[in-house]
Amino acid sequence: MITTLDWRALGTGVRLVVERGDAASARAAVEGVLDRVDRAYSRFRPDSELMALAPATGAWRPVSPLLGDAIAAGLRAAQLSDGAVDLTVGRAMRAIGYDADFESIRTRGGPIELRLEPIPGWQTVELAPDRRSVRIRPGVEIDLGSVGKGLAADLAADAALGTVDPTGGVLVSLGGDIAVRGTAPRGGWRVLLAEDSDAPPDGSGDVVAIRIGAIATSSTTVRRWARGDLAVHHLIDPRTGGPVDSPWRTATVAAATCVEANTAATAAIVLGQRAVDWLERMAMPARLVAQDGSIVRIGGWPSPVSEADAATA
Amino acid sequence: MAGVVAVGAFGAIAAATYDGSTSSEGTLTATLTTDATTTTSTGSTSTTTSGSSSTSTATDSTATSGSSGLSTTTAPTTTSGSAHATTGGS
Repeated sequence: MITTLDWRALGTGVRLVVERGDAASARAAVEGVLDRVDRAYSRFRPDSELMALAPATGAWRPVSPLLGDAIAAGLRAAQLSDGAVDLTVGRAMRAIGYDADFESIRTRGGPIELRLEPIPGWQTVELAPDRRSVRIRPGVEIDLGSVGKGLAADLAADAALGTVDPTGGVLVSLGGDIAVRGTAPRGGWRVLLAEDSDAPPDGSGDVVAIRIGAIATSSTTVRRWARGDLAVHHLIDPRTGGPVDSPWRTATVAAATCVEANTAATAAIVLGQRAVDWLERMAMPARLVAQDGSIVRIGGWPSPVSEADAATA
Repeated sequence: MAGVVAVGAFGAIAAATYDGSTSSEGTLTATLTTDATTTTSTGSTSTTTSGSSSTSTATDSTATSGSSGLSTTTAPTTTSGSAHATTGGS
């Protein structure tokens, strides 16, 4: 028996799907993780542990295991993506007006003066080998945004799995970043590919199935807002400090973990034309949607059912 | 008794070593390696024996791509029907 629960947390939609387990217990486990994540590394609550690190002084500061793990994930994402996904975009995010929960900023309409500058770079953040202290160069602000969301999905799925039947399984989606654990339903976990994670799963579009790991999508088409005549989105180009101008509007990647799927999806948008070679080198199954709607599939990503049928007809 | 054995497990080939000097006690450690087209999976299993009892621990570590550093997985399969969830921008 499959049970599905939906609610909102961390400023995005949460979906929990439980196969053979008590959904209420699984939800409590997920909510516990998301609450700890919010208190550890939210950029939008002044009492979070991350915000307590600001302003950076250049001195070593202690961090909790969760924040340490999140910063480690951010640094690893930056290293593996050659800096395309960088956790030092905090100030750039504020510069483009993304300084509060998205629901509140998209209702603002006043113009802003954009003063863009290249971001400081992940090398300005040092994490101790035991991940219990961090040193941040003065002036640098950390945003764990996409990587942090992927990590949260992984941790939530791990926690939820601990509540279900040993033969069961769980799917956790945080704003379209999906982690699955345990035994998949017959035929696998079916995932609709969409531009907007709020699209209903029974809507039209390509559907793929995964049994293990994770799948995540980054897109410039959804988290957009306008300030005066300026339209901006939340994916930052580290070279300019402004919203990236990418040939891809949406990138979806499957990986062993959600934090890595999210890292690769975000990197693909930022890397632009170089993304295809990078994803192939990383051996990551991926689906890129160009600005004109054309689709590039990489690393064994399957064609939709209709095209596959046509190819064998 | 020390030696090297090879067994098949999880579709992989395991190279195993046994560090015990007697037949009744020791630790057997095996490292599993699978080279697929795009993925290398590793894991290990350890069996400790004492007298007539033994304890086995198997660890299937996260699949990692050969040199990239990002952990890969098998590509999704195409399917149809109502989905369990939607992936997309948010």
